[in-house]
Amino acid sequence: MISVGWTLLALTTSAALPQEEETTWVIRAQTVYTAAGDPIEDGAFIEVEDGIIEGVGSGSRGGDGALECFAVTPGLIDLSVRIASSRWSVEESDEVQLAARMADAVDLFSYRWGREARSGVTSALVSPPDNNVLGGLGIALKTAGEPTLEARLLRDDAVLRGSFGDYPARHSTPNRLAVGPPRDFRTRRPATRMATEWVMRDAFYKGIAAKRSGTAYDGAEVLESVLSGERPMIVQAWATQDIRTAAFFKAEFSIPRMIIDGAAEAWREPELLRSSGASVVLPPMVFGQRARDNAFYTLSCAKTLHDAGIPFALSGHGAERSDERLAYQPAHAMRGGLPFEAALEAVTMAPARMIGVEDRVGSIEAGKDADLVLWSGRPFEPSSRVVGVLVSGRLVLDPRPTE
Amino acid sequence: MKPWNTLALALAATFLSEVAEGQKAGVDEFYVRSARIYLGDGREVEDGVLYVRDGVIQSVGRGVAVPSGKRTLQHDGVLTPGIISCASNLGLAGESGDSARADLSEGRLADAYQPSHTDYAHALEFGVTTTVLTPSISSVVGGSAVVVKTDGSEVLDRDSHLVVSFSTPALQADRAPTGYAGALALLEEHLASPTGVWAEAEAGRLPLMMHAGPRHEVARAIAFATQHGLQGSLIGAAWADDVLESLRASGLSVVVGPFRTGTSPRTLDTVVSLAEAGIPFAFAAEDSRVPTDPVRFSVALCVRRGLDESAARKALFGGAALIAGVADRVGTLERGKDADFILWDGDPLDLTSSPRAIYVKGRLVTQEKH
Repeated sequence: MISVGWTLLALTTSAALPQEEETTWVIRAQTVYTAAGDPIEDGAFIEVEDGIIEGVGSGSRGGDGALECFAVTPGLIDLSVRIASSRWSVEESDEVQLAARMADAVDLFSYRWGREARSGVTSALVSPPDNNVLGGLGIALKTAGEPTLEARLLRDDAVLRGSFGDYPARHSTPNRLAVGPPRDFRTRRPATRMATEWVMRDAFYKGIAAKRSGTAYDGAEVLESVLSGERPMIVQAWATQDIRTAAFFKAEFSIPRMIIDGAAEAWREPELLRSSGASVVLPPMVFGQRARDNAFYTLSCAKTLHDAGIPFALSGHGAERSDERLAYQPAHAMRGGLPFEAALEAVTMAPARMIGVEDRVGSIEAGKDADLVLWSGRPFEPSSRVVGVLVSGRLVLDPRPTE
Repeated sequence: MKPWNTLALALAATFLSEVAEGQKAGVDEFYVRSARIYLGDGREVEDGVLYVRDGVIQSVGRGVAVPSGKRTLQHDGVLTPGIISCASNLGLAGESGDSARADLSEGRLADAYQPSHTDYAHALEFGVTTTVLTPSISSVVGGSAVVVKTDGSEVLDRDSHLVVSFSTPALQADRAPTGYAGALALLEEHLASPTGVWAEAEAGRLPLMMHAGPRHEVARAIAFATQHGLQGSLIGAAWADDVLESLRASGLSVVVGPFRTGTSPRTLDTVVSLAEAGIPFAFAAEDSRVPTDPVRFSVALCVRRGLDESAARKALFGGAALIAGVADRVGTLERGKDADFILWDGDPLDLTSSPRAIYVKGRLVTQEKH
């Protein structure tokens, strides 16, 4: 009896061994939305070899082994994925952490990577949680592949993450001790919007002063890279006053590349945002319209930004609810008046450009990573489903019918 | 599964009384003839003899001659080395660290060791004759581990390992670091210009023991050790089989357990995979608050999931001694090593077996009363 049990276990163990995965495919579709010019309609194909797009064209290629679907878009890119955003993924001993790396705190084994990948998100920017005013360096990763930084890396230390608004302040807890030192770090964080904004400016003032006087400053190189435009800064700002603060902050320190994340009330300040030169990442559309930080979010927000010529991306902002995932967001934005092409851009090339990874991902062009989403119908329509996903050529959702 | 249970019941009352007489008379050499001997390195001997003099093993094997007139114990069961636990806080509840301090690099758990604590007698009753005592998981650098005999007779290594923690208990809201990145920065700082224990660790003279729980912590610990060429072991490392290749390449070993009835099969299967991949592993003891069989229960659960029995025995004895860094003294039955051994009434991997008599350095320390 015992030997029978062991045999079964041996089978289970061997089944768990990693296997070489196929990364060469031909994909046939009615329409391929390349996000690089006009879509290829009335029959199109994509050739993928060793995880790279080899060719795209009209007509039909591939034999019986081809993957078939109605439409293909580039893999979706989410600049506000909140995986592994446990409190241990942010260093709270100081609310300013310029050099803390998300690469040192990310959980590549989280089940949530699989959920993101299967829902169509193929690239993700993961930043430190916003418990801090300045949380440190975010990392851009593929959502699928071997769970190592080397295998998944898109851009290391891609952005400096900061947060305005009440989120860092909300993590402040009053010191309940009548006497004595603060109980823990959270009693010492900024407790208001004004203080949060001051802490952020103070960090920049100190860094700049240190540079002028030639003294050492923790994270000086990171600050320098943000001020020179080499590295973008992404700040969370949901409500109008915080979006304004972010725009003024960008102007005060002449920060070339500023991304405002969670900007639900961006529709109130299109002129300021346009003239500031900032980019915007919009949070998922919520029913009831009051988003985080009590921000008032409108269906037409994306259209307003589009009409004003402001670069923007859509995001799932780490939504755990499946109906708030990125793949559903273009539909909401289009309901608010955003054209299809702009919606496609907002989940592919726009976010890719914001963090400077457009040479590898964001569109269907020869030489780019084979990050593809296969749809059952016209993309983003409420009646269409994501039926297949490839990440770097690896099939993470198989469109072929099961026997 | 248990070929010895009926034989074991025949363990002669005369044998036990003979042992007692031997102790009284202060006899310093004796022979034990046992139906089966597990040597502790994965090998076994049928109907072998163990020859002990002055607490040290002189010879062991099938061909060891027993001169007439010499005192000889006849055991119709299994003889093994004493069990070695590679991590525990036995006898140290609440005293094995200081969560208010993230860095106790020069801290020594040996200074908190109290040899007469009842935890050790308890562990000894279950066959654990040697244990590594490991500083708490709640500091990023916990300090030095210590290896002791559970009979209180000796501290085998006063500074055996440098213990660090990649786990969340080391991250506290009332002192730095509070996050993974800060913890890693603290460790990296030590290696930027290593002094003291860190210089010893970097030179390969002091192995590390690294607490790591979920897979991303394990991956972080492996990357840290690999980057700095540090040797030693992981403690915990559930599901480490998902990072098997980097683990193998790192040369690190793993201290697993303790496991309980509620431990998931997935976690137990990790141990099976480690064994199949040839990665050295050993078991941690239950912590002192749980008065149960400290190691054998964990091993039995793994064997139930398919752990090779020979690998399981190696992990209890010789393999554990290598990880504990005391293989020159204990862990296997061979000439020159301490005569720490157990007479079982059956296979120690079978939980229905019990130790009938336990010896440390040739001295009978515990004996079951029947």
